[in-house]
Amino acid sequence: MTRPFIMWSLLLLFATPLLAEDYLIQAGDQITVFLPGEASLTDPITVDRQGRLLLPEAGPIPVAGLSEAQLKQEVVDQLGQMFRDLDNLRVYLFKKQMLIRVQGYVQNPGEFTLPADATVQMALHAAGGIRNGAQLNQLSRVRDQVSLLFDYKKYLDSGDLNHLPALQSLDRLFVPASPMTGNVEIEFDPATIADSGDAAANRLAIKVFGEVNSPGSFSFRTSMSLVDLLMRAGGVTRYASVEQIRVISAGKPTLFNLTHYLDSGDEKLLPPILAGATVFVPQQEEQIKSGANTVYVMGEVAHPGAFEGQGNATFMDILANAGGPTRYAESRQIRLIKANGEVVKFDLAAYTEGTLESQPPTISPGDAIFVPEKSDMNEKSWLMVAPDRAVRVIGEVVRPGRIEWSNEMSLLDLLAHVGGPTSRADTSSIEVVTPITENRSKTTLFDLDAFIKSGASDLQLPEIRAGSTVRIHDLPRDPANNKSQWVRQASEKSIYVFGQVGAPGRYMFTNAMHFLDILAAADGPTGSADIHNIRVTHRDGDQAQVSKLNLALYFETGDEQLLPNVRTGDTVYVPEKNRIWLDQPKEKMVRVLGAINRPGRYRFDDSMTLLDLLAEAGGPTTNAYAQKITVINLSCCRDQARSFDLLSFSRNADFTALPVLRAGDTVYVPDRRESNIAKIRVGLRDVFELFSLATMMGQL
Amino acid sequence: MFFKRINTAHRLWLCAAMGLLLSGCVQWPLAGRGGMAEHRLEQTGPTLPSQPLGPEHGQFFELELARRHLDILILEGAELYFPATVVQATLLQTRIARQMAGGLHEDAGLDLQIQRRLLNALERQIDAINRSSQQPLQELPS
Repeated sequence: MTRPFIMWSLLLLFATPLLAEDYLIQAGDQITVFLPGEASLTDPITVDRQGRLLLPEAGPIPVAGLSEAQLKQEVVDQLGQMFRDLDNLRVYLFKKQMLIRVQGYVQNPGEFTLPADATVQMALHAAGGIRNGAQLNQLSRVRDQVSLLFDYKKYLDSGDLNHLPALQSLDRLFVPASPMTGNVEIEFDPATIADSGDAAANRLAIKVFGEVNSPGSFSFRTSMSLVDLLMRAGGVTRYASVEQIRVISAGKPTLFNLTHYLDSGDEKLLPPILAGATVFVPQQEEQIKSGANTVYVMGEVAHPGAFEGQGNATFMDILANAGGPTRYAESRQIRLIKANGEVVKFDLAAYTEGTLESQPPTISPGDAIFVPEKSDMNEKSWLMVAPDRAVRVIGEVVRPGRIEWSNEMSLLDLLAHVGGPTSRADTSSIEVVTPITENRSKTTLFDLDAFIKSGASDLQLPEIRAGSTVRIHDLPRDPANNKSQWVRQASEKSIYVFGQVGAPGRYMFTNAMHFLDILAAADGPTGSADIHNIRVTHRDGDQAQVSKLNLALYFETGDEQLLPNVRTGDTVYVPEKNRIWLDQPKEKMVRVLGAINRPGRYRFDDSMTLLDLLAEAGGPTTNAYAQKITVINLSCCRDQARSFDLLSFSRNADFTALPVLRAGDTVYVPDRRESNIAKIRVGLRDVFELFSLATMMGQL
Repeated sequence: MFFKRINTAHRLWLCAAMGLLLSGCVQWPLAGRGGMAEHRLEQTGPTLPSQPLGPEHGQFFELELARRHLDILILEGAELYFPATVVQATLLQTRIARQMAGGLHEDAGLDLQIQRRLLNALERQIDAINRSSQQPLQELPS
């Protein structure tokens, strides 16, 4: 039982080469020629490239293309010439091998002896493997000067040996370098090359370039999306403008917003990718973040920059994300620059104080928040405050200049901020020029003195907004010398004093002052002033109006009601006491005529009597006919004349006998010759003289 | 011849008559009155029932009313607040009294109207002051 098993085993062992009967010896095979007792024929002999078997004694025997049996026969034929006993000669194929040359872009190109069933992969392995940068799909096998291209990549993709050509000895494998490696031999690094990809066919390949990690041409597959492509290209770089990816597919350019797609997940946003499409991911200039959802925060915040915001992010959210305003920030003047160029101002300080009624502006993507730097008072950088943010204060204030304005402030705040008016400031007429439109301004004259005195509310302050100008005039330097600066003193701030005062002229005046102020300022009436008839011309009304003032009555009674209300622009005239008689109307005067010591026109009022007038006029002369002092009354309706007997009055003190006398009347003191007695006496004398004359004529 | 027929006494009378004729008979105005009527204003006698009433009585009555009015206003403090107006009113009152006494009734009537308006204005002012001060002046310091 054991013997037949061994026999079968041996039979099988030797039958294996016999089964491959059609195997032909080729170069590289190892042949064992064994002849007992012959030491030189112990090692296997390799068939050389020429297909020859080099036997030590017999020389080269061409064996390529022979079968194993033919090989044995050939060997026997050759050795039989030298050896007699060849019974024990055994010739067999020791190892089926082939010689393959591997050339091109491999680690160790050269000729390698490989097992007869070796594949292309083994050949490449023997050559140390393919170098980086080899073109895997363009390998070629050269046999008998005939080149056969094959796609090694396909084999690697699939593992299908059918993609590899069969090898036989003396074949040559050529591994080309990829054209992408360039003409200068460098260490190939796929991450560094600008152009890569896996595209086998350039025409159909999809080109992905720009700000992707691995730009290149990628082989087209149906149902591939743009996101797949970007992933294959290693994803976008951090500089990529993912909102503006350009895709040219089927000759039509489209713009793809990756962020929008990722936010929405809407598949319809993905552009169709056809064979031969081109995808370009542009770079954001200078690493500037921009995009549909970006909000920019600039200026004096802790972390200025571009912020990706959701649509519902508020102004406060964004400002807080930027770290908030710094301590140098002018939080009153925050500007929101809308994407369309509109500028919205926002006063954060006022908002936090609760004085601002409006809410923070709404932020939409693309807006920019600018927090300007606080302008430093010490620095005096006047350029920091834009003209539409500043008010100008000029004139007599402690620190005139340009002040940054906020609408919650008032004129009083502004005046306080600039240190207040100086001691020489004319606070009664502060000029405020406020722009209404671009080309028009409104000028307001503000009387601070009256405002404070009356305790008016702030609503009555003139409106000031950014761009306004406030001017505060100065008072005349020397009141006594105000004529030298009369041009600087406006007419509407002056009052005019003429006539019999110590210093007539033009005086600075405010409506808060009254008549005695200006009279005292003009050094008061002089000795020759007629203080009973002071005239004040009021020039502020539409009609001419003159007030008459009896200052003597004022001094007598102290009645303030008598003093006229003088305003700027009015005129005060203090007439002379001894003025020319034309200036004194007849209705105001009493005329005293006749036998009186000082006849003339006298002023008279109803507190006086005829006796006062006669005394004032020096009394009747010695020739006066005091019994018939005549008073002619000027009446509205019926004039009359009355007489007065001064002598009789002096005797009986009958005051009722005094005739009524008023201003406008006339007093006549007749001469003694005009009395009836005197007239009769004269008449009798004339008669007697006539009689005497007649008597004398009769006697003749 | 004419002279020879009359005796000496008759001649003298004739001469006097001729002298008077020649002197032109000088006509002096009536004696005036009222030049200081305010001095005796209170002493004007009452109007007797048998006396016929004329316009001058009405005027006198008006003046009396105005005087009382002024006195009341002075008591209310007019002299303190508006002394000059009181002076003027007093002066005008004097003038009216004088004119009435002096026979200038028309002028007195006009001035009476002025006086009434003046006193009315003064009364309004006094009332306004007393209302605003809430403490009407009850009596004047003597």
